[in-house]
Amino acid sequence: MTGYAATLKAQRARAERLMDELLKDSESYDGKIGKDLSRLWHDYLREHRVPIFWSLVITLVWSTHGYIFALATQFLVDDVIKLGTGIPVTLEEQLPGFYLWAAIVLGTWTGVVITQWARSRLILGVGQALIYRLRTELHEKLQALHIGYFERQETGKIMSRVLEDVWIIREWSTTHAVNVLAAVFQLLVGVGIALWVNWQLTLLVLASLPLYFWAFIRIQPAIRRLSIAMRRLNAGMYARSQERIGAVSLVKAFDQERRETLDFRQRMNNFVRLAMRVINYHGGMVAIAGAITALTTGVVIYVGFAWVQADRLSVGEVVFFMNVMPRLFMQINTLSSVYVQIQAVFVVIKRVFNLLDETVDVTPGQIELKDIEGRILFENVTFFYPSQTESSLQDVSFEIAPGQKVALMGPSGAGKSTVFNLLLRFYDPYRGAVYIDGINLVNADPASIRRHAVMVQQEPVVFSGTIAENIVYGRDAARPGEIMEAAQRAELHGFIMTLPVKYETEVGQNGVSLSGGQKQRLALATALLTKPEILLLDDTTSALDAETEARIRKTLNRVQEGRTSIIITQRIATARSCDRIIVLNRGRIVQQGTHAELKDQEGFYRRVFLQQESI
Amino acid sequence: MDMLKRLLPYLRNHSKRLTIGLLGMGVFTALTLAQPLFMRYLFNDVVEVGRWDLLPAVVLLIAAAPFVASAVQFLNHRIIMRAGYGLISDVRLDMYERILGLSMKYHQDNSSGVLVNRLMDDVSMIQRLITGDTVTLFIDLIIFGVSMGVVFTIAPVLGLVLFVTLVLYVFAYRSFASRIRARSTSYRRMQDTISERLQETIAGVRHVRIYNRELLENTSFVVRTEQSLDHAMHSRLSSVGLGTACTLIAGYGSAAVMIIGLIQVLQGNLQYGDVFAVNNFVWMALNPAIRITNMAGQLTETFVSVRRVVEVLDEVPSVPSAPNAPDLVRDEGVVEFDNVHFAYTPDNPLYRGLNLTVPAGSTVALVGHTGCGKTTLTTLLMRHWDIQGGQIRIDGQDISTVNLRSLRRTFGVVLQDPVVFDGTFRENIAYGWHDAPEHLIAEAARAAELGDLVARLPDGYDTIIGTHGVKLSVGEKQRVSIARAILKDPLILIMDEATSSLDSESEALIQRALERVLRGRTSFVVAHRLSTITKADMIVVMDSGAIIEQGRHEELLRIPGGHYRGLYEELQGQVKESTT
Repeated sequence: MTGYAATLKAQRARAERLMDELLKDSESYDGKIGKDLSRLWHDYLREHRVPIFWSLVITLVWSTHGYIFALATQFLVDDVIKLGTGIPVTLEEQLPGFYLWAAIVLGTWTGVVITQWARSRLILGVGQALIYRLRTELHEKLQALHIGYFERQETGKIMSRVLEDVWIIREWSTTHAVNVLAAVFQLLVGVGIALWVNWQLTLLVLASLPLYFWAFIRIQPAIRRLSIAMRRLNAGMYARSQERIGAVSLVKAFDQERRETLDFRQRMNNFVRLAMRVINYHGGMVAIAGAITALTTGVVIYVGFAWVQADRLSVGEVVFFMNVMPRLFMQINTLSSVYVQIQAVFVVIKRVFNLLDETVDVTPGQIELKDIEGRILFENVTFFYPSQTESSLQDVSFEIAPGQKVALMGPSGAGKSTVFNLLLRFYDPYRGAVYIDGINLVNADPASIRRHAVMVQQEPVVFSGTIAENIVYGRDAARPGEIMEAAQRAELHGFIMTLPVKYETEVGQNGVSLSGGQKQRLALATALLTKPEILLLDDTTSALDAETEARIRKTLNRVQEGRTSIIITQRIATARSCDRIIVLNRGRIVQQGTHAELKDQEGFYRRVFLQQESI
Repeated sequence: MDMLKRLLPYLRNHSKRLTIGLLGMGVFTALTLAQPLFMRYLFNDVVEVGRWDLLPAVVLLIAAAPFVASAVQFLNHRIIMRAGYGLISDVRLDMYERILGLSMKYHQDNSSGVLVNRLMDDVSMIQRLITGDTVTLFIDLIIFGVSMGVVFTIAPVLGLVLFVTLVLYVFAYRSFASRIRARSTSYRRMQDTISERLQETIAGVRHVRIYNRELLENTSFVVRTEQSLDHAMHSRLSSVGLGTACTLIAGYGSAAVMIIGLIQVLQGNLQYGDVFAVNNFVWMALNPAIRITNMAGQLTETFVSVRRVVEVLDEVPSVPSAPNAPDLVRDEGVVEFDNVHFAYTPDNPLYRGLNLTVPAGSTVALVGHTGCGKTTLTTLLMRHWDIQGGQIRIDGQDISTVNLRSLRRTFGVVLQDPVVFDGTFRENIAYGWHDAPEHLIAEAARAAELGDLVARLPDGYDTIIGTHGVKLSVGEKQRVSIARAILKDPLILIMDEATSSLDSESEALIQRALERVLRGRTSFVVAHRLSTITKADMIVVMDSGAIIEQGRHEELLRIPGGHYRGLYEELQGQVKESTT
């Protein structure tokens, strides 16, 4: 027996450890509830105070219906049927009372239907308005947020702020809130009327409530914790099987099928163990609630009828209590589960407000960049990314004349991309200044900068939609001829014309999947459509295979003509065709010059040159 | 139904639990239904006739019924859920084993996403079928049947009223439900486009900013949100309508039962306890009535899942090894392709009699344009696919006759897209040999030029890498997969070189690591790098499934107008391009 107990204990300890492990990073609420709620009220709900007020009034009225029925039944039993009194009554005596009772029942049901409809209907409109406003504000905020936010946060998390979280807030500040209030009203009204009918019996019922409430509040958090852990384990199984099935050729090549199955079995067993614990807690809670209800019902009925016998109570009054008790227990049930959920809702409210409170983008300047030539000047620029201690650019100065082609080279982390980030004013320099045509970018409107300087990213972005829609993303008002011209210059036109519906072909998640080279050309076409004076190419060919890379490079050479362009590259072949090469290392310019100059100079460039030359 | 038969063996494993569970549910339901009847007894035979001596016994029954029911339900629920979880564990593990064992052809036809959905979601649906739907249906049928039966026995008139109420209730539910479903489907569809766009614009936020599209994205989001909320509003309005209608029907129905019943009481045909009990049954039968009529639709959905699961379970691995196949005997690593015929699809043959002999210890560089059949050669060697004619031999042994596991153990593989699993450095390197001694792991890591990187990390080999850990660059990932291959000390190394260009530093590290690994070991390299190609012991130039040239770098260069010469110049051109 002790052996079994020890096994059981060890098992439980293991499960606890597993849980702790899983719950380590769960979110907890650390804000001020009052502050968040008052903000929710003042900023979002107050404007709807009229419908909210009326729905509260209606809810209050609605809450009385259960007790009207119970009182009517009491009247029926005591004054119409005269049950258990042994007094014989004739039908004639009973009929008026019966008609009155029937009228009350039918009338109350009518009232219930009307009030129920009205309160749902009223609050629905408030909810719609709330969700619309919150989503719109959040989306606007996202568009205005600093680019750094998106580097810190996962896309999925940001999305669930806008979609799921807002939905939860709406539900809990409208429909659920009214339901919770209805439960409170019903509890208060019920207890009040019951006290009025017979306070001794009522106290007997109320005596069980703390026990009931206690059981819920003790067990519910445990269930919530376990459920979170279960969800996480489940997600873990998803991720694991996705990873392994996705790389099945590796699993096979290393002959690991059996071990993987064993690992999966382990996970599955852990999952089942947790699931059974949830079932134990949940079942236990339901059972406790059931037992308390059963006991209380028994005691109340017994005591009630014992008092009827002693003439201290009428049968109708006992029937009243029999009808009212389940209703009271139901409200306790509702309220205690709310008590647990509401904490999660506060977390949700807090994080939505947190997003709304994020600092916005760089302060826009007043100057509009117009008719620029494309002269770029970096003057003693020093820059840190907020999360890093080491500077990304350290006292960097260089100038690029209009129409010049410049290659940026250097090992990863040298600060190449930072140059682009500052030029497009995604970030502002910490010290020093960046100028385009002599205008300090800090004083310029970011939108106007981006109208003249366009970046083609390393990983090209293709949105769902047609090819034409993707190209036109660069400039909405473009004519079809211009779109085609841009595609031609990006050397994508030929490919597009081989597609059945040509420019109207759907691409992206639900459409034709494009190869890496085609995506690059599409991105290039989008950029070219805007006819930028400054073109920034971020290591555009690194993810392509050798053949495609060579072809894209020819295209790039062509489109760089006649405009200022900076290209980040790892390839000597690309760099040597540029007018100037700037080599960065650890945020500083270490070499600068043409290919001819740098290839014989000791340093990074020559090393790379020799390496790529030798192969 | 045949599909369900396929699941029977799984059910049988847990049949004892399931039987006990169902029996228990029957007891629970009976106890639940008994309470109103005890109440009826209380009113009719105790209170009305003043038999107060019976009161304690009856009250005990009234309290005991739900009390015992709670306990029974608790135990039962446990038993049934345990059976359900046991069942899905079995199904899921069988499926997982099957999926990992299936041929590469199957994996090429079925994306991992689809398979994972079947493994996780569809199996959960089956669990729901066993522990949820079936049990609920069972209970509902009992409650529904008993309520109707009892009410008709006590008072046929009231039974009729109850029946009409239920019919109206179900009818209202169904007519509203279809409207709600249609509306919420269109809402969800709108919501899908919104979230798809949102995902794109958040992940591609730079794209949006670069092209100054913030305002336009806002407008389109607002318009779409408005539209979707419109649908949501309609669906919610229908829900409110449904709720109202249900309250109306149930309320007036129960009122009708009470009124008609009480008229009978007043006339002396019924007793008050009868009406009290019948009214309880009315409220008990409403939800089961709806669930029973809904069951058909729900079952069809579940059966789709069952079919998808059974499909995977029934899939036959296409490259089984013979039951008593001998292990491959490791020798020096001579590889022969002898008149190999192979086609992915019957009407499109790739190899028509391919011959190639690779002496032990030599490095073979496979070159040629995309789609020429370089990679296929290596997958055939590992027997991911079976050939249709000819023989592939390793040290004189036909690979189709040896034990598959012993064959796979012979190879070290470096894939083109290096895979790093979520886990520590150690776990990733020791993937093929999980209890490898520490010094061998470190040795493999050093050989793959990972030593410095690991030494820099505070947790060393225990650093978590992959999705949830330290992000590695492509070059580092490649080195991890090289280390993984080295640790096995394979007889034959197969390497699919990555196409993407790396920064020069990583490039140099990888070249150094490779040189070390390839030396003195039979290796096949699907090559994209000139440096790898020129250093190979044997270059095999392929074009549409045939070997067109074969030899060392200098030999092949000497062939005037040769394919290799053309390829070489093309690759070199990238380096030398625009020198002038």
